[in-house]
Amino acid sequence: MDGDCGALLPRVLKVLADPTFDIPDDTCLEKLLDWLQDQARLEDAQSLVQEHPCIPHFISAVCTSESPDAAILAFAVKFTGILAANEGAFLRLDETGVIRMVFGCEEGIMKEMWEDPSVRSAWLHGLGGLVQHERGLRFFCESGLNRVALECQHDKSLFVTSGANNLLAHILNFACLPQCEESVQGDVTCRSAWDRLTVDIVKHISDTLSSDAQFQRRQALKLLALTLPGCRRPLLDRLWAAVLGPLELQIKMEPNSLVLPVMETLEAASRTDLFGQSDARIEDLIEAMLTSGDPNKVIQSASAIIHLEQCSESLKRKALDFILQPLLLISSSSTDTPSPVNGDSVKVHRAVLEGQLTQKSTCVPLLSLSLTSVSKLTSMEFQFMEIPEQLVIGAVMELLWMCLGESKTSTHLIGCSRLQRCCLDALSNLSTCQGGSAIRKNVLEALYHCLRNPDSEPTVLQKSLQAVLKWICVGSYSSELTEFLSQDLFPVLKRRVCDVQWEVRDSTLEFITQLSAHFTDNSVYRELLDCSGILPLLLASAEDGESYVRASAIAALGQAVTTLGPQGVQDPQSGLQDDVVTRLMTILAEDSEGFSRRAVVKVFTSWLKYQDSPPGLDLHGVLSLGSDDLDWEVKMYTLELAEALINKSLGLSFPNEPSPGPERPDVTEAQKKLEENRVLPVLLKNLFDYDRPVAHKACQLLLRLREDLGLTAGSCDSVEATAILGGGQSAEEMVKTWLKKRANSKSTSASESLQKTPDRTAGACVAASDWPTKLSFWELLNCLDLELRAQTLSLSSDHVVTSPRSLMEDILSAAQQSEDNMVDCY
Amino acid sequence: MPDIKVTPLGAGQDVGRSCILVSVGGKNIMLDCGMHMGYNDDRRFPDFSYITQNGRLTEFLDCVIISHFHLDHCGALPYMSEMVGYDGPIYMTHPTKAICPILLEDFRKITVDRKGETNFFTSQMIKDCMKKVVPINLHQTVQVDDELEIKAYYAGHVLGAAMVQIKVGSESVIYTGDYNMTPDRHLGAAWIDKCRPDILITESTYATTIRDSKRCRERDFLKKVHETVERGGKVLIPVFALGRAQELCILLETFWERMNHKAPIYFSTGLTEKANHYYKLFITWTNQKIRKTFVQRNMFEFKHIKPFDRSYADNPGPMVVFAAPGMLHAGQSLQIFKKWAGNEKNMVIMPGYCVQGTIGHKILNGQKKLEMEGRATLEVKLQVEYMSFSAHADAKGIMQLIRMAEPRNILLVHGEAKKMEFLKDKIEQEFSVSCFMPANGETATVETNPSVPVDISLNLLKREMALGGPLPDPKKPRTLHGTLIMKDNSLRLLSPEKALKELGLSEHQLRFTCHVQLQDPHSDADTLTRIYTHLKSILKGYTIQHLPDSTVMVESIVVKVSSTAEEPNLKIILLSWSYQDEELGSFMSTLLKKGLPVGLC
Repeated sequence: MDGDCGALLPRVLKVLADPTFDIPDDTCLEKLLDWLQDQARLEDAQSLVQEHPCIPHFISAVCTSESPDAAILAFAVKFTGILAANEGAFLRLDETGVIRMVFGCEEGIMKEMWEDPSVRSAWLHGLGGLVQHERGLRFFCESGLNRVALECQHDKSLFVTSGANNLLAHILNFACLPQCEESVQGDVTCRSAWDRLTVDIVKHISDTLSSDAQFQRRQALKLLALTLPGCRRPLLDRLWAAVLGPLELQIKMEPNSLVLPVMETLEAASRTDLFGQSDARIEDLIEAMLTSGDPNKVIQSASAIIHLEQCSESLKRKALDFILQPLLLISSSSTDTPSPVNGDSVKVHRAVLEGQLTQKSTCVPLLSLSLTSVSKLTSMEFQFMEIPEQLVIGAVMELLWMCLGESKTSTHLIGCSRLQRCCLDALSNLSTCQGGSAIRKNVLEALYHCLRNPDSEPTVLQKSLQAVLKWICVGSYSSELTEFLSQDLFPVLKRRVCDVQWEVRDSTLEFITQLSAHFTDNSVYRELLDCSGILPLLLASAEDGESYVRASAIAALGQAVTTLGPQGVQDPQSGLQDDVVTRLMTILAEDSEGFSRRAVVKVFTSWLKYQDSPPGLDLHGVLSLGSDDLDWEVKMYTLELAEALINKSLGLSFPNEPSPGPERPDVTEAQKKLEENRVLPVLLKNLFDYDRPVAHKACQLLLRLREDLGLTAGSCDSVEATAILGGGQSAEEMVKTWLKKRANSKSTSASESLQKTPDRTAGACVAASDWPTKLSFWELLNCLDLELRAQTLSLSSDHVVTSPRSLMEDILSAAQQSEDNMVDCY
Repeated sequence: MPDIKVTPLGAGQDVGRSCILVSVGGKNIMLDCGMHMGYNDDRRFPDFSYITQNGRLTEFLDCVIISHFHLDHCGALPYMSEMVGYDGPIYMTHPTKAICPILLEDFRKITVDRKGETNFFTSQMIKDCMKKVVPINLHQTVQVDDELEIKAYYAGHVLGAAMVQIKVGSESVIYTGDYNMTPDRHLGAAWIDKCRPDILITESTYATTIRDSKRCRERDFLKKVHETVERGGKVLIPVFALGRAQELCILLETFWERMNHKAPIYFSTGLTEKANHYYKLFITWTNQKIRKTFVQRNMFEFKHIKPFDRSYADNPGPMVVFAAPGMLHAGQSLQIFKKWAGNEKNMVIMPGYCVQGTIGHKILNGQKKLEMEGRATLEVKLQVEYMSFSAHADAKGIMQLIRMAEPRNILLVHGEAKKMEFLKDKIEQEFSVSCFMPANGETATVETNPSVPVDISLNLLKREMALGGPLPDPKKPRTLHGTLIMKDNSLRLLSPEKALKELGLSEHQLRFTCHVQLQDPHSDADTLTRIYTHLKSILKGYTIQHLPDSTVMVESIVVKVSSTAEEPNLKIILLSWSYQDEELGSFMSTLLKKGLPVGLC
């Protein structure tokens, strides 16, 4: 613990123990606890207690106080738990009686304050720390705390029940903890304490699983699911034998509203040694989950079964049948084709299912669940076994047609956007299936109808576009695709780009950008795009009323130019890029919104990275406007542009790009190029920016520049300092002020500074009063002492005010405040 | 009994962040999805794992409703929808949808400034989240699905703030979000129908306070600014981009105009134009005065307030600067503060609360020496003023809203436990309704008695009328017999005959049968006669017949006697009755089980 904090701690704890003290901010205690926990971990908790007697004093003062604040009491209890996790500290605290005071919840202040859920929660949290060693476990057992912990498992607060479950699971698995294994095996007292505890907990789980109260059964299942992964024999056998019966009853229960926790428990069990054991009947239980009368529950179970690693193929196949059944049933009823899922396993189910599928209120959740499960299967690259993937895709499409009102048989799903979203997600994911290219045309047709449908909601449109992109990427480029792009897609995109809803316009523009990026090297696409009439719409969209849309339009324009090449395809004289550049420069200078201006700079950076500097692009102008921008992100992107320019000038590679040839441009040449674009003034100006990320980026670039230029003293010609600074008066002023401050501080600790940075003192002599008229690059960069600045800037902007010392000072100063700090918020 | 369950994940006995889960009529709705600005880690967001373990929020939630744009009500939304994953509908008013991303962006900047922060959403995520938002209008009933509907009411508080009514069948919940029952300079007072919800979930920030008039606070604010400017000092007002900043701008603009002040006022965030654009766009959401004067002069076209350039901070002479961020976290407001802190002529006015871990929090706690980077210290000589302009209903306002809505139950959120306790007692005393105040993670359950509407056939009603009796009176319910048909999501009560006809079913009679054994040394026929006599003496007023086919009939109940040749004295009595005579049938079987009285002929 650092000296300052160590000195403040007694005062802080004294203030906190004062019952009249009002906590200044509800986060203070948690932050203080975070720090104390770090201290207990970094240092030895025992010496923490020994060296800071204020700690046990504080805990006992809170516990003997007549009316402590519940939050302070909870803090003290958690803190005790953190310390007591160390055996030595536990003994020390036990000697002073603190342990009993804190954890004996049936007497004293804990009893009085027990009604407060934060106190109960803290108590469980604290005990979690205490039972990390055998002495703690024995204390827990001998004090009869197990009973209270078990009661907490049925608490009305979710946080308390969760705390109780964690504690009880930890106790059950205590013998498996590396630090405790030996004591449990070797120490008879410890062994017997643990045995007693486990007997009680196992019985409790078994009894609770048989309880009438659903909430209690749910908690028992959660506890089981938490315990099983870490549980070892022989306790594992004992536990499973005790819960098997009640678990079977739970599975047979109708309606079974606990499908998910039961499945989690079975999943956990399947990962233990029990799985291969026939009398444990885990697979039977898992299979029994598929016999529920409620198709929703069955699909939930089936979806979990598919993901089980250990599960047999036959059971997975059966689960798959259940997942697909509603989907295939509703689509086959519409297409009059028999469903391939007709196995005995799902027959019983069918009547209920058919009934549910005819009612919208039951049909929508059922199909959504089925589709979501299908989506998850495809994302895990699941093979549909004997069921052809095309059939599944066909069923999803059929459902989509139903939602679009294009199916003759079913009308109750028309316009259901929830289902449409699920269908589109599933279709997107199914695009990776084998044989997808064979049905690409059909899928794209269905998606085209979604895009065309005037009633499609924005989210449906967005997902349709995402699906189109996925399916376009399936297989190779073909004339069929050209037809789709030119006759269907581009016309509908042109309409959607002008949609009344900004969400639709934006999604469409984002899609156009992605599409153009995908087809950058495709000459057919380039021609199609050029002739499509989309480009004028993109230019118009760059003036949209909504800034999100303007930004997306700018990105789309940028990508279009990259794809088409600077001159366009059809009319090389059209000078597309020139038009775009002019428009973008206007936006950068005039647009009132940051999003659009950020997009402009990003486009320029991307151009510069992947092609030569576009003709007509005034890089100096962009850098100047960007670095003066009010928006911090525009400044950040401008620095990225500057970085791209530096890389280009120095012949350096960009990340993820092959490195350039062995020939590197001449340093003087590069320097000249950078000077022309006045990169240095931009970097210097941003070095002193109010927004720390901007200043940090500028500093990193200056450091890189110094290194990459390989500058050493005398290697550069001296140039006029004002020329370097490019007449940027504010930058010059800032550098001067900074140098002056630096010179002053250096004069007070000149020798120290000299020792630390003997090679970087060149600038120390440059005081503001004698600002040199000639200064080399090297001199300028060196006199800025960039390393020190980089170090400062790399820290979080609030690192001083969020330090533990600052936190403690805040608590102390709040205690001195006489005024009542009335609660306030926005 | 059906019930409504309410579980706060945030705002349960605190004012940290609002996130309340409501389950009503089988629907799950999340009310607000706020962020706690006091934490830099995951603790700032609600822990959604308590709602659903598998993280599939889309399957669990039917919709999310956001009451207004403050981050403690909407700040976790992009995290929930884009990082945890939620694809379902999100509802908020048009102004909230427009302004919400500005504040989210504003806060995102602060988090980028704080190094090492992980798990925070990006700009793209904010946009993607906003695309999922369905905007709603005031008083417009929005059908979320076939059963669930919502309706927004004006809440005051900030531009676009709404209270919301949630209805599933006849069960309903009102959630107030934050509201203000007194109009202020640019917004009106909250208002709601007398909708008698099953439960009213109300904020209780000022549960025990009767606040002084906002006018007084405003006067005080202007006086302080005026005095500082007069003596040549500079005034710094740290603000977030939107909300209170606009309110204070109007205040100063009007005052400057009236006093003919020349000292410049600057607004530094660069977002003013956008903010003002929205205030202009959503003029209908402001109060009557602003709307009325809008034609002559737009209140948000500021004449005296100009954009700020960082070089102005060093200008000599007085000035007023609104600078972001609001708690002196970092950036511009902090830099200006550092420049001006050393001069006692200057003043900083904090118009809202500040979380721990900010300079704002420190100076409000009265700290005069602040540690800066590199162990440097900054002496705070300028005057520090705290002025709460937060627009929440006070205790009187909360009671007023309860009177307006007439709820059957009340649940308090967004307040301090001790103060809630006080208000809870007051509410229960005055309105005689149950008042709940669950802590975070606790569930309050309210039993409801939903009335299920049923269509009754005209014929059945006519038949009932023909039978006589009083005319229908809602205060005196009476029994009406009929057949209830549940078909195509509707309920209809018909006469049994009509129901049979409509459903194409034939009528079946349900009869209950039981055998009673008794010892009687007479012949079967004599035993039956003895039974007849016995029943005659007991069941006075009932139609009892001894029929020639060796049967006794009591109303619809058939009694027969038989015995076997092996045991002629052991009589087996068969009793059979229709369901209409179930009580009588049960009574007779019990009676005969006791045997026949001695001396019966």
